[in-house]
Amino acid sequence: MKKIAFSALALALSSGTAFAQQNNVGCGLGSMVFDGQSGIAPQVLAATTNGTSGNQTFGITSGTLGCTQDGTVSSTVKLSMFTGSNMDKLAADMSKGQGEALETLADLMGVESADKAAFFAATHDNFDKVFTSSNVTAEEVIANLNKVLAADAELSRYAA
Amino acid sequence: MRRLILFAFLLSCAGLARADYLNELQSAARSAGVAGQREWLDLGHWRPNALLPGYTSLADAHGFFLAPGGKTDPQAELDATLAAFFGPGEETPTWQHPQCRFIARYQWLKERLAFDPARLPEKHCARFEAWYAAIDPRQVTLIFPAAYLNNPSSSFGHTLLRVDNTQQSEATRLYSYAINFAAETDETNGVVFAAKGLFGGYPGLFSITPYYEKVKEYNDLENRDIWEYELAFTPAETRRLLEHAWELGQVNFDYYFLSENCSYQLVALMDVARPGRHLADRFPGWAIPSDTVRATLEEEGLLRRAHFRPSNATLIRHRVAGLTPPLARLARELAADPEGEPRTRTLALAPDQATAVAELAYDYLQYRRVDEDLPRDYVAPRALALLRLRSTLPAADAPVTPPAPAVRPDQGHGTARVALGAGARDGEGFTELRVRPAYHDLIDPQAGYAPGAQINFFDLAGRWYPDEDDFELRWFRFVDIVSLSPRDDFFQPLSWRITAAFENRAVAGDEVVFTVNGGAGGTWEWRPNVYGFAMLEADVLADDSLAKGYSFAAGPLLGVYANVGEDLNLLAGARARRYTELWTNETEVFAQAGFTLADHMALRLELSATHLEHTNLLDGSLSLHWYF
Repeated sequence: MKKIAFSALALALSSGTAFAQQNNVGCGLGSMVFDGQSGIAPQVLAATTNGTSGNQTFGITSGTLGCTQDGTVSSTVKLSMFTGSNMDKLAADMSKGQGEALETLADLMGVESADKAAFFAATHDNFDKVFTSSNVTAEEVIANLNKVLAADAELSRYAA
Repeated sequence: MRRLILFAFLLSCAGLARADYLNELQSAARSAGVAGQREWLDLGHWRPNALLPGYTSLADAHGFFLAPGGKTDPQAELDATLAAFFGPGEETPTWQHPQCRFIARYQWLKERLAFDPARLPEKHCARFEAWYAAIDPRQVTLIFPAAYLNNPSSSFGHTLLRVDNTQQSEATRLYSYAINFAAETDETNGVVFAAKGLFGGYPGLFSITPYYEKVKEYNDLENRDIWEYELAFTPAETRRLLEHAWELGQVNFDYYFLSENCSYQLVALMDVARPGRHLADRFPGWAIPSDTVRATLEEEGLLRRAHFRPSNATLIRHRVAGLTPPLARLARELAADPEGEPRTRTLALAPDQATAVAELAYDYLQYRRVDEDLPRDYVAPRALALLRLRSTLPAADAPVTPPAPAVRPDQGHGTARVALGAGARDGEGFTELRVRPAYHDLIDPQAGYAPGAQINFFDLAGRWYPDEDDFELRWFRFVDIVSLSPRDDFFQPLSWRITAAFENRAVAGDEVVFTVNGGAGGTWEWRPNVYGFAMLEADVLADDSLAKGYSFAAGPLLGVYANVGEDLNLLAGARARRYTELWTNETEVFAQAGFTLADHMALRLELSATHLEHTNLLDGSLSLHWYF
C-alpha cells in the first residue's frame, strides 16, 4: 500500500523537472567547470557532448572552448559564444530590427548608444546578407555582419 | 657557520611568532565564542541536530572541511581554518591557498578577529579575483521560473540567482551569469529520478552559467514564464554572496527534492550574504520554491523591482489575441508553408498586419519545433523564409510585450492551508477539519497561480458527527493533481488528473479505501476564464471491506470551471463510474464555489449528490480556509 502511494507521488513529481534541473549547458558543465580539478579535457568533452547549439534551428557554433577554469566566459569568445548560443533569437531580432538579443549583441560589439538605432536598422535592411542560408554558422554570421558594418559609412568603425 | 646558526634562529623565531599569533587568534576566537556564532555556523552550513546536542553540516564533501571531524564540529573546524590561513604556498592554476579557497570564511574571520596583516600575511587570490572581475557584480536578482504549460507539478518550480553586472542596461540582462544549485545526474527515467531525489540519492552542486542559457531553457524550451526579482543587497552583501558561492562551487550537498533543494540552498546562500535573516530556519521540513521567494521578499525594501519575462507560449497567446481569427489562421498556414500561397496572402495585407502575421508564424514554428520535436530539415528552411519575409516589412518600433499578470506568484496565497467547516451528509450534521501542507487547488484564490493547475500534497480531511459521537476520516490524499489546459487552434494539450489517497467512498458503504484514480481528456475555453472539460476516468480501489478486496472502475467526467472576477472560483461537474468487481454503477453531480474574503482567507461552499443503486446521498458543507 505504502509502495503504491510512493510511486504515485514519484510519478507526480517526475512529470515535471520540479526542483531539479539536470542539464547544464554553456560554460558551466555543472560543477566540472566550476571545479578547479577539471582542467581542459572535461571542457572539451562538454563542448562536444553538451554543446550549446543543439537546441536551435540555426547554425552550429564552434563550441565552448572559451570557458575559463571557473565557469566564466573568457572575453575573447564572449561575442562568438553569445552569437552561437542565441542564433534563433538573433535571427528573429535582426529581421525585425530590434530585440533583447540584438541589444546584447550590440553591447558585446561595443556599439555606442548613439549608434544603436543605425546598427539595428542595418541588421534589418541587410538580413539576407547576414543570414545567408539556413545552414549559416555563428562565425559566418559575425563575419557577414562585419561586412555589412564595414560597408556602412556610419558604422564601419565597429567592423572587426 | 655562525651565519647559518643565526639564520636558523631567525627562521624558528618567525615560526614561533606565527605559532604565537595562531594561538592568540584561536584563543581569542574561543573566548569570544566565535564557533557558536550564527555567521560561522552559516558559513559551514551547520544545523543543530534534531535530537542530540551539537551540530551537523549539510555539506557532504570532505574537502569543504579542514578539520577531520569538521562536519560535526564547528569549533574544531574554526581552529583548523585559522591554522590553514597561516599555511605556506602560493596559488597555482590547480591549487588554491585556504585563504582563497575559503575566501568568505577568511574575510569574515579577518574582520571578526581583526587579523594583523603583518603577522598573518594576506595571500593574493588571483583565480577568485579573475572570476569576480568576469562576473563584475552590481546586483543580485532572484529568478523564479513559473509553471509549465499543462504541468502542475512544475508549479513547485525552481529558483536560481542571476548576478547582474555593472556594464548592463535593463535591455541586456541576457548577458549576466546565473548561479544555479541542481541535482547532478544523467538519469533519464523520471520515476527513478523522482524516487532517488526524494531521499537524497543525488549530489547537489552549485554551478555558474550565462543567463541566456537559462532563459532558453525555461522561456523557449519549456515554455515557462520567468519572474525576475531584483534584490537590494548592498555591494558588501553581494560580494559576500559571491565569495561564499565560490567556496560552495566545489562542494557536494545531498540533494533532496523536498527539503534540501535548490531553493533551500539559495536561501542559505542569501543568509550568508545578509546575516541575521535566518530565513533557512523557516524551511526545516520542506522548501517550496514559491514559498522561499515569498519569504525572501518579505523583508521591507529588499525587492528593488520585479520583471516578467514571458515564455514563447505566452507571447504566442498574446499575439493571437491581437489578431482576428482569419489572420491567426493565416499565421498558422504561413508557418507551415512560408513560400507558397499563404505568403502571397500575407503580402497582400496592410504592412502592420503582415508584420504581426509573419512574427506570429515564426514564434509558432519555433513552438512546434520544440513541442512536436520537428526535425531541423523541416524547420530551418521555413524559419529562414519567414524571417526573410519579415525583414522585407518595415522595422518594428517597439517590442511586442505581453502584459505581466496583475498578481505575481509571490503575492499569491500561502501554500499551506487549514480549514474549518460545517455541513450535513445524508441529513447528519457534522463539523469538519482539513489540513493541507501544500500547494493550491482549483477553488483556492487564483491570483498569482497558473489557471487550471491544481496540485495538493498530503491533504487531510476529517469529520466529527456529534449526533453519533463519531469521528470519520474523509480523505488523506497524498497527491492530487489536476491540469485543465484549454485546447485551441494553436495549442492542443491533454488535460489530466491523478489522485492517490485513502478516501471515504459511498460505494464502500462510507468506508475508507485506498484508491489511485486518474483521467485524461480535453479542456476548451468557452469565454475568457470559463472552461469546459471532458475526461475519461479510471479508478482502482483496495480495501478488505470490498467483496473481493479490490475493484476497478471507469467512466466519464464532464465539468465546467470558471474564474469569475478576481474573487470567485466555480467548479461543477458530473461523473459516472462503473465498478467492475462490485457490479454497480455510481453517478455523482457536484458543485464547488470558493470566495476570497481577504489575502489569506477564503470561504468555500461544496455540494454533491451521489446516486448509488437506489439511494441518493446528499452532502453539503461550508468551510473557512486560512492560508499561510
